[in-house]
Amino acid sequence: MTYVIAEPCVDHMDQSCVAVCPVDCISSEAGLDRKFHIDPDGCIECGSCLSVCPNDAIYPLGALPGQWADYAWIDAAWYRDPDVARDVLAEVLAQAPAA
Amino acid sequence: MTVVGRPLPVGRAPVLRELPPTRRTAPGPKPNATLAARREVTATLGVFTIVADLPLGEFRPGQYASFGVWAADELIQRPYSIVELDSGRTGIELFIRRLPDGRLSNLLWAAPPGERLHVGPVKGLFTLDEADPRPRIMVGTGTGLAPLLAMLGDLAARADRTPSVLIHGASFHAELAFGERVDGWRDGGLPVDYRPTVSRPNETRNAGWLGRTGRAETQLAALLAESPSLAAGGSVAYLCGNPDMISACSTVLRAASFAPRDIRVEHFHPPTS
Repeated sequence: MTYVIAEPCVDHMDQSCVAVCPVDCISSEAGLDRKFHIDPDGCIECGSCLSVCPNDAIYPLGALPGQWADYAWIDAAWYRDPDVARDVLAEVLAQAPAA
Repeated sequence: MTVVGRPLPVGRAPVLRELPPTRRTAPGPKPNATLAARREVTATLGVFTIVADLPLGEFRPGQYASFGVWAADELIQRPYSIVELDSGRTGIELFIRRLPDGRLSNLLWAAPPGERLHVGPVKGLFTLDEADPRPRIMVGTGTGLAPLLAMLGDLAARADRTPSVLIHGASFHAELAFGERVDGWRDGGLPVDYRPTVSRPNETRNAGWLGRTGRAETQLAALLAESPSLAAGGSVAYLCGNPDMISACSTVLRAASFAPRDIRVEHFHPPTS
């Protein structure tokens, strides 16, 4: 099981999670991405990122709130094809109910 | 791989998409360190010495790194706080608990000296605020002592004279490792008040223990009661251990009017699977 970065990260992108990840499996591309992404193949489930996120954006996959279920796919897809992941994120955000 | 989410809100289709083909070509981690020694404190607690092939990056006392052992073709990794990093930044000391279902800790226990390992980058935000002149209250349970030892060792090396209190909680007195090292720092002039405590004083394994008893948060409350000047901005607290201890000690500190910024914490999380 991995951790997932969900919608509360979008356009906030506090970098504490990157500073604490011991396997460097949290990434984004500056200027291109609106959120960070956790590599499900690299995550060692240590929970370090969860502890420090000021936006409460990070969840274990098994506890990911249903309205953010897409974000597990987005995180995994970003490490395969970031452009596709960005397109899907834009689609998901467009469909998300206004806060 | 397909990710199927939980039910989505009404009006949304559930996620069910194939992931795109990978473009990644990055190689996986390689061995870059060697297990040099293991000293067993108890059957389930050990002090490990690991030597990295190359110096680790910049290290601030309190930080950690991931350590990994290969099992078949899989690299099993967990982060461990560094107790001590030598001056060449290659000699690494760790304090590790062997967990019944801990994949890495059991592999480490079985590994002979000379076993090749992987060490990741130094990471972590739980570090000593050297510029803060206030007394420090450090609370660590079990192997949560590790980053606090790194901090105290650094303070001793720099002949820092800011007072510190170290509360080390353990179930059994045999688990109170590193007491002699702390005593040595104190004898060398470091103003540290070392308060080991056992949480199960009535157990047979604690027979003969004449020191403090009770959980770490109980000792913390007692400290604040006997030294009121430490409360309400008079000190800064560093807590490291399991989430229950962190929560209990944070409650004690908040009741003593500690500001959130004066409660620095490092959680030890169990694996989620």
